[in-house]
Amino acid sequence: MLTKDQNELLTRVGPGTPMGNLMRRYWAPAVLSWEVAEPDSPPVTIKLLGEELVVFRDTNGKVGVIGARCAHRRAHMFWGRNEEGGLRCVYHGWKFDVDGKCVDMPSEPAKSNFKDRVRIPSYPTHEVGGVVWTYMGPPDKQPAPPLFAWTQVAPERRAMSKVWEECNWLQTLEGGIDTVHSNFLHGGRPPGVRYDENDPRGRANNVSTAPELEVVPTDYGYTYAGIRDMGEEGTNHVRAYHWIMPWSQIRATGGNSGHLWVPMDDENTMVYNWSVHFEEPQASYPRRGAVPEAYGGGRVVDSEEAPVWFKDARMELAGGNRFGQDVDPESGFRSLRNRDNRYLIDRYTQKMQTFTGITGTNTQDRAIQESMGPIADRTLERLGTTDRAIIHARRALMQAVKTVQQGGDPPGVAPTFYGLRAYEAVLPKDQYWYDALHDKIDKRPEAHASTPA
Amino acid sequence: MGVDPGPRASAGPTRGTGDVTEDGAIERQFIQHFEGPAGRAELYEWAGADPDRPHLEKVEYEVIYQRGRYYAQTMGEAAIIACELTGDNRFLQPIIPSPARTRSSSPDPR
Repeated sequence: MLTKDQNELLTRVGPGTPMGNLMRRYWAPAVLSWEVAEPDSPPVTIKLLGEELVVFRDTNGKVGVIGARCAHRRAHMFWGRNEEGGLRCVYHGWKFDVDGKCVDMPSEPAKSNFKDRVRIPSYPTHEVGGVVWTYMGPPDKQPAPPLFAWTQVAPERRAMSKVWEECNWLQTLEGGIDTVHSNFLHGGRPPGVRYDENDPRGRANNVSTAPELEVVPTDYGYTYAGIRDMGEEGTNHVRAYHWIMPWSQIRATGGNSGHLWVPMDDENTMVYNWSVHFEEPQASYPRRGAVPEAYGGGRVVDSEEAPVWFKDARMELAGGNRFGQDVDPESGFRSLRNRDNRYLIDRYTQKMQTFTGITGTNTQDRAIQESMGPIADRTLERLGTTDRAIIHARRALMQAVKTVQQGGDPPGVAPTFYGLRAYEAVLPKDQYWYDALHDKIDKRPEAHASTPA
Repeated sequence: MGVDPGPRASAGPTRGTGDVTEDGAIERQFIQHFEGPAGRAELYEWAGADPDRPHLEKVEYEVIYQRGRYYAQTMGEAAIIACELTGDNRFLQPIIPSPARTRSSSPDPR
């Protein structure tokens, strides 16, 4: 539960807002690398933290993120020609390089040096993990590159997608860190019955619908665990996660997977989804075709037949995020099952098979999170014990806003998150999960001597 | 931290009113106030280290209304108690639908 002012504080992300200033202290995903695959390929238009931007890869392969409006008369640069080291506005031919400098102005007399005085906003980029990241904050505060462990995995062991979610970023984050909803939203009817009895997490979900949630604050955000009593087995199933401020999550699946919930503006979010296998696949791991659920699901294709979106991630992501089937890359990465068609809910399926009747785990997430409104009214919530991670995240974000306002560095800008992984395990009831899993979830060289913040 | 006396206890144990106890083990954080025809109540969260598991915290919620203190395990339950005590009717307000949304915020270069 938040006050109206607190809710406004956490959900408004445009330039000059307190939360916008906080978010501009981090590297933000701008586009997937394949969206600007080749030098001089077509530019891409995006909205990020309330700003209209254009992304393009220049002749030398360098990616630029620049303001979307031409400095001349505000025409949109999306229509521009990407050629010979810059993006040229098609209205009057003004051309800008990846740093936003005007490098050609053919509509003015040749002797004019007007172009030397003209530039449009630009932001630095860093490309890693199949993602073009950009930094929109103060130049002297630029953090270390976003080298999450998952970005270091070879493309053939990495799946990537992104999808436009039509609501404020905070409800997408809160949906992701709310581990308990999976029992219900993603479950069968009654809750839990569809989970696989051969899989420990499935058995735990079937037995335990009110897990304990434990949060351990860290110097990058927090690590947390959903602890499910496995009933007659006499053990606990523990699924440990990381939240890396402000918008990133790592969670245990067959390998690891997670999301980055990045605000486009106050009422729209671009959700980046990733899944990786850290270790070399076992012999039984398919080189093509369907990937077993234990490995995270999805599909692997040979590079020769791979569509463009496999260029930087050759494993396909399922769960309601498959390009062409669930998400339309040609329509701003909008979900094909969306609120305009009621997510193609099937009431018969809902009655007989699944809790929602909506196909796709992440489609179910989008449906329910978007149903909370463009910006959820948190003054009217009634939070329970399982909302502990959400309460912690809000508090940490509010504290980080304050830290930035006072001139300090917020959590998650130092590269202390580089080695983080998520893990799940079945543990004896008397074993403390944080001690048992610490070596597995925290691969930072210095981590094992450190204590949480 | 004390044992939860139940959500409708007439008055809980007295505690310090500072934000942090002397040994720093328990923190009190103001969440928000509630107001209605029967007066005003304040909702606080108490969080302290779990003695058995030092990285973890133990939490409970306190409502202060007039001279009484009321405790609950969840923020939501404490908020309901505060509303009931004060007559704050925030949870009974009609839902006013949001204005029809346009898709003008889509990344459409027009």
